[in-house]
Amino acid sequence: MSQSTTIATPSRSRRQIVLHVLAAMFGGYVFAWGTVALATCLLFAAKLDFHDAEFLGAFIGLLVYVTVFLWSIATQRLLRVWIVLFGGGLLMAGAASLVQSLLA
Amino acid sequence: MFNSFRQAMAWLHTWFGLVLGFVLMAAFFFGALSVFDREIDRWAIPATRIEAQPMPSFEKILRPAFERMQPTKEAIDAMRPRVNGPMPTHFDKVASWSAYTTHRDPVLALYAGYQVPNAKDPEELIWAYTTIDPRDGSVLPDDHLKIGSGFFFPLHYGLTLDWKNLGIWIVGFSALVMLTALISGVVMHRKIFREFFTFRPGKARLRSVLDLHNLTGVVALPFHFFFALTGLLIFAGTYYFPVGHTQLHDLHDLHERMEAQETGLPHQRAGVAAGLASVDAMVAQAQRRWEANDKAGDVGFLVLQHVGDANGYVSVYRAGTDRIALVGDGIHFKSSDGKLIREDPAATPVARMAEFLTGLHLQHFRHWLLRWLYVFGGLAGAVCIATGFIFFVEKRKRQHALQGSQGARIVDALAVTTVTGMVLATLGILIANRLLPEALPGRGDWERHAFWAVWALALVHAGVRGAPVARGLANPAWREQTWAIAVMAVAAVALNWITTGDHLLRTLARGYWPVAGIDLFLLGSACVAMIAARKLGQHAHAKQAAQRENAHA
Repeated sequence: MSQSTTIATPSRSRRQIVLHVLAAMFGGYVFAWGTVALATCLLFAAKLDFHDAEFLGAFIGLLVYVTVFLWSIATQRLLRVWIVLFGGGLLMAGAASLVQSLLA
Repeated sequence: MFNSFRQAMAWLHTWFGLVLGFVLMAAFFFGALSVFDREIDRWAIPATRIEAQPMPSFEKILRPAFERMQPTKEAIDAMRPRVNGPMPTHFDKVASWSAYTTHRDPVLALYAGYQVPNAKDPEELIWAYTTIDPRDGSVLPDDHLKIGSGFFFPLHYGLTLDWKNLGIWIVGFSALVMLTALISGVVMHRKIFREFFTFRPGKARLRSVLDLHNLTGVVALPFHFFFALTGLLIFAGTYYFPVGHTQLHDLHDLHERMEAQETGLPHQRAGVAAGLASVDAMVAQAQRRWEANDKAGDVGFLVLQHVGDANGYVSVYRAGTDRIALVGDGIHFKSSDGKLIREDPAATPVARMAEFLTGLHLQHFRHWLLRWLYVFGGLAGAVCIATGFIFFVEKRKRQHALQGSQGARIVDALAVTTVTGMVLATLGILIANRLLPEALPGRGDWERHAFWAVWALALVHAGVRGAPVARGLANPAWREQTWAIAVMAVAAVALNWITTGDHLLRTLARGYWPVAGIDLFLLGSACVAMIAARKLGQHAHAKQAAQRENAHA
């Protein structure tokens, strides 16, 4: 196990940890939501049953959530995490609404 | 923030594991108990200690029971703000009647949904619930808490924190963290394959705790991963990512319209009164049709939609006892004349995958060995998390003692509360269940209070007795609560005997496994607790003796 956990952390780094954790939790959720919505829409558009699309969408979204969660904690580039997760999540959600408006 | 990926993963594993491990312990432990939720119900409600029953006759048993049902006063009061004008005193427009049973249920749960005149949302129904004895249709009193299916089961996915589904969100987030902890745990250990076979019980305490943590984590890794993932998937569409009810509502509506067209099952009442043909005949026909498809079996779920209306239909679903996948194979009949409307088509590949994954978690199958493997898998998860806590404490407590920090003491007290305290709370509710007077009003609530009170006491005890941890020693609360487990487990078995007359010789002779199994499991737990408590005691004595030696020298 790492030694860093027991070494007292300076305040700047503690703030950074908080920002990483918040990005992982909330940024990750926004990104996962976007993934679920877009995947569901695209799979439905590809003639899958709605509930099948919904299930596969959730499945993909959960795996993506786990992945970006790990990435948010591990990476050094905090700003990029926030931009990719919130920006990407909102973009995908927007795209999902667009696909929906074309279908329904 | 961290110098390497491995370091970041170690940080994530340690701190998220510490904070949410407490929740995960509860999810794993009460999830493991929920494998036998129906059996725990039998133990807790002696009046229902009978053999499991198949779905009874609709005409003889179910119909009179359904017709007697009405929403409770509480349900009517709760609905009042969502209705324009006064509430009716009697609800007669039945949207649906349904009955649900499994191959382990001697009692039958009935649900009735009624349309509410002038409801602000005309789609919203008011519901009534009851539980009956399927042999004669008599109603079982509502305030008998089904401790297994009505308390331990919801506890394992929602902590019974119902406010805004907060508990479901906390458990869901913890399940996500479980997945990340499993991955980061694998990343932390380079020699994962070798550690798989490493257990050194005789070695230093710290080393053997870590070995046990790795062993239980790695051996049951697929089990832990799949349970966290399928648990999340089961709730994803309803709670965690409800895209179908929110952002993609229009798409969902489109699907419903397409489906209603395709299936021919009416979504609305016609407004024309109609009679009801023999439902028993429809059930018999459904069973013949399943048999023809090599899927013979009992009815698990029976639903009557739009009762008394020309658009009414009856859906008959199979109880999926013969396979892991949770399958329904629904067959639908027109209520008024009993003509077949539709047989659900074979599942799509994705639906089959969904049925398998949810079925894997919800286990409706009839396979007792597999059921026990689930229990031990769940308990292995609990052991894995518990040893994680102990490792956290053991690793730091000497250092914290030198620094004068209370950190290790607090974590240790919380670990005692989560490990032994949780078992004590479980035994507490079982004992309260046997001690409280049968006719006590709100008996179920008192049982719940007993559960939380015992757990709170365990926390206080662990905190008060925890001072030695801050000096780098062991907390005597571990040993004391382990003794308490042994005493209370035996007490629960004895109380079951005294209050119901069902001692082990009788239940075993009768072959009544729901009660005999729980009694045996309680006695087994008492034995394990006694051995553990003695070991902890010897350990403490050896430590004290060593210290005295040091002091003399």
